[in-house]
Amino acid sequence: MVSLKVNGRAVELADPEMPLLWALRDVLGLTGTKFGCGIAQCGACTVHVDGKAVRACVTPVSEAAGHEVTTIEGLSQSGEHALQVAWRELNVPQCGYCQAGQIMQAAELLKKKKAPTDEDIDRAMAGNVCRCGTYKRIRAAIHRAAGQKEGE
Amino acid sequence: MFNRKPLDQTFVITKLDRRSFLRATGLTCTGFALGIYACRPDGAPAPEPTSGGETPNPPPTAAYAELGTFVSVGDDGTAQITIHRSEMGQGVRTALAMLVAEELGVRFDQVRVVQADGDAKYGDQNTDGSKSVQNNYDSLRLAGAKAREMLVAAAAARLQVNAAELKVENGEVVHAASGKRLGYGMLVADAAKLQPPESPLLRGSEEFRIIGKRQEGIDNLPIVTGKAVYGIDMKVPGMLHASIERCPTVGGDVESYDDKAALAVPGVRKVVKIEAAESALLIQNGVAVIADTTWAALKGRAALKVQWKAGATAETTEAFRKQLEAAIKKPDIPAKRNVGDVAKAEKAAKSLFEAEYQGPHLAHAPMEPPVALADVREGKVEVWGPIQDPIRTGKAVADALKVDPQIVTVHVTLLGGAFGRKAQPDFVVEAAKLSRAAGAPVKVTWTREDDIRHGFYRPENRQLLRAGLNAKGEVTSLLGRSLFPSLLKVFVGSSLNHIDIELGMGWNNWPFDLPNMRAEAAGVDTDLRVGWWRSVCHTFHAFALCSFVDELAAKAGADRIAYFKKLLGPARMVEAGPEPIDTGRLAAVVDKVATMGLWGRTLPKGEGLGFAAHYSFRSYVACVMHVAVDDSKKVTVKAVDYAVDCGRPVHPDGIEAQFEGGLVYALTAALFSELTVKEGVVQEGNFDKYKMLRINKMPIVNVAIMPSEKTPAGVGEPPLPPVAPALTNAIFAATGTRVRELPIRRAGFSS
Repeated sequence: MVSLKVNGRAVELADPEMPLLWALRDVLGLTGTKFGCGIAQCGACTVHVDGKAVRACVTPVSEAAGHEVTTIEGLSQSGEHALQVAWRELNVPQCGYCQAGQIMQAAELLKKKKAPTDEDIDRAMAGNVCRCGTYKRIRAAIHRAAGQKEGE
Repeated sequence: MFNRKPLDQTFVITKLDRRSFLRATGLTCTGFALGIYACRPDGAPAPEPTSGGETPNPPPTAAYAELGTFVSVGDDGTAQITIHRSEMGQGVRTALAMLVAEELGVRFDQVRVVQADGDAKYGDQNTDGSKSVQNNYDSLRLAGAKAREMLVAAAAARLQVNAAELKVENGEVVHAASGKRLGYGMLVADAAKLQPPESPLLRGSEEFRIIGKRQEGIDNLPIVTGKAVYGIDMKVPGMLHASIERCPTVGGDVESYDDKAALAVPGVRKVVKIEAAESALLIQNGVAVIADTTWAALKGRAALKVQWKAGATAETTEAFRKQLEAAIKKPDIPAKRNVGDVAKAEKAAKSLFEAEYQGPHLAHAPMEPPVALADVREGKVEVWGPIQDPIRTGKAVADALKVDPQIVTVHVTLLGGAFGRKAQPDFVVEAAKLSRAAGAPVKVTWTREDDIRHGFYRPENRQLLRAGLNAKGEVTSLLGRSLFPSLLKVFVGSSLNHIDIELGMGWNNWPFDLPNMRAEAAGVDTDLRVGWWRSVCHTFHAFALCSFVDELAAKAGADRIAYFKKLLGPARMVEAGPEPIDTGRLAAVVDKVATMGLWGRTLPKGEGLGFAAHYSFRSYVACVMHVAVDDSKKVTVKAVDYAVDCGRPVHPDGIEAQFEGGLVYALTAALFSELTVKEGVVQEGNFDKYKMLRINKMPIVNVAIMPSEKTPAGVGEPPLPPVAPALTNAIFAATGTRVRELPIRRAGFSS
């Protein structure tokens, strides 16, 4: 049994080899974290482990043992994180499938950089694919959540 | 203000408690008191309670009574609108709800939506061709207006006034003379008992409060909190997970397999051969591992040992291209449109100019791969998934299971992208077959490699264009040949015969004002599965045509936009394809984008502007692209300007989003995408080889929407066709090198 915390709740998981992605989705029922590629090429499965953005599809449960995992469901109780608000205000989502991963990646960026530049955003977010192509609005929403106008 | 017919019905008004409300309105809704289970507006029983289960529809916020097929109103005054088209990111749940809400007379924040199952009562549910808004613009406004008139009639009866004295606003019926206001929630029980009016009155567009204005996406909150339910998130009690090792070649089969190691994986329940390849869809046979979790299924699959009997295909990309190159030289290709006499004009021409263009096989690669859940029982089949065409999918499932289609229910979830891929029902058929084999509900989740290697591809294609030029260098004739596998293959099993719809996508309806034009086309045999990919045949036809006109302009030393407009000729209706093209509207977006894109300005060395314009899905789109190309032939797309005339803009912010995103989809393809086939097997499998455009390559993009009172037109697909030619025309402007084959790396460029 592997013990870890998910969104503040203590959980025990039986299979240490199972990628965190499938443990979250199939065992714990937290389906907000998405499968996109399985090889850390798209970022749809991004969650935080001790506040750091990781790709859950290539992170075995054993690596999360004793750590705190935060998923999109745990980012805020009611969708009031500044990024979630900005995402809504700017109508960022199209199909929405990749957006949990985008928001989790952006949340880590904002923790590290209160006022990210466009280059900071490119560097932090280039691992997250959006096939609907919402990049323009993702960039604008990150600036907005940081309290900046776009391109500041 | 609405003009209304006076109504003579009168009613006894009784205050209803919730229980009698349900009886009075014929609404069945188990578990209502707890507010847990979905009430279905059609009055069908709610789904069984499930432990940790998901449903495509959110639990109700009130007790809803139907005021027509698409509209219910709750006792709390909220409006529940049934969306019968599939949401794949094109914003259809928002846009269609706006149409109903506008006429119903509610604020948009008083609206909730539920997704319709596949059902003939909703009419056409096949979500393709960018037609959801255009085809439902009148019918859904009428649905809202009917419900509004029923609520007003109920209010008139209750207040004992003439309906003409009443108006509606923000979900209330208002009697201005007395100052009385009745919320819809108080009126709906009475309204539901009335006969719907046959011809309700619609608002004039000057009264629009919702249409034409920015609204928040109806699914934004569940999406940003991780609560939105896609196909991959569906769950029912007792559900098992499956992963399928499919035959690598189309038409192949399983020779033998060893499942000992697979069955030894903890959590693996069963290994079964899946036999599915009986229809024109060419669903691949394979071996499925059924397990308690997705991970166990994947692990079990990796442990399988399968011997394949290869399909009758040895198709390779190289040979396929050579075949196209040879075939396009042949003069015996049938004409699909003939104006004047091209052969005669070519004989009389001073010179001929000819060029050929080529595009590769492309996969859709939606972020959510194909995935479906099925529960097949005796006498009852239910499937859930990200499904673009629930009616066709239901039929395919019934055919595959050999059951009566009446017992099959297709539930549509949110689609995590689709782009045409999820119009094909293959993955749902697989789930149904496995559920029957397992005797339990089974969810089949495709891996990314499954998605890219077992797709229905936008087919490899080639075009030849040839212009006759007179002594002054003016074009006197235009000949075109287009070779591509017909997408009809998924229905009839052969890709040799095109239908008019395919040729109407940018080929048999060139909008040019030329005396001699001949558009030829022929189907091509391919062993692969082909299908419709966002904007379908328009992508390659626009690439060929807009590139060729740019080449002609460059040859003539003319301004390329002026040259395009000269070929376009005077404003008129071109009646050649499936629907007429208004060249005046096309010219107007060209003028607009030239201004936006600062066309004609001088740029530093290594930079260039490219232009393209194209009509598709009843919309007119022009695009100017600004690129920089460095000495190592690395291309950076700096900025893109779009002008679009899509008729009346229903949701302008959503239209802009489609253009911002459609640009990315088309630019990804032109810069990077190409599938390589060897011995019938697609070599690329994941995003490491099938590359995606990422945020660090996102150009500045501006979208101008032309004001229009005309019928709304498509916006999901029209952003794509001008992108590749605008890009390669810009590369030519920057470097003098013409790219005639996509992606651009085939001409030595990178990005």
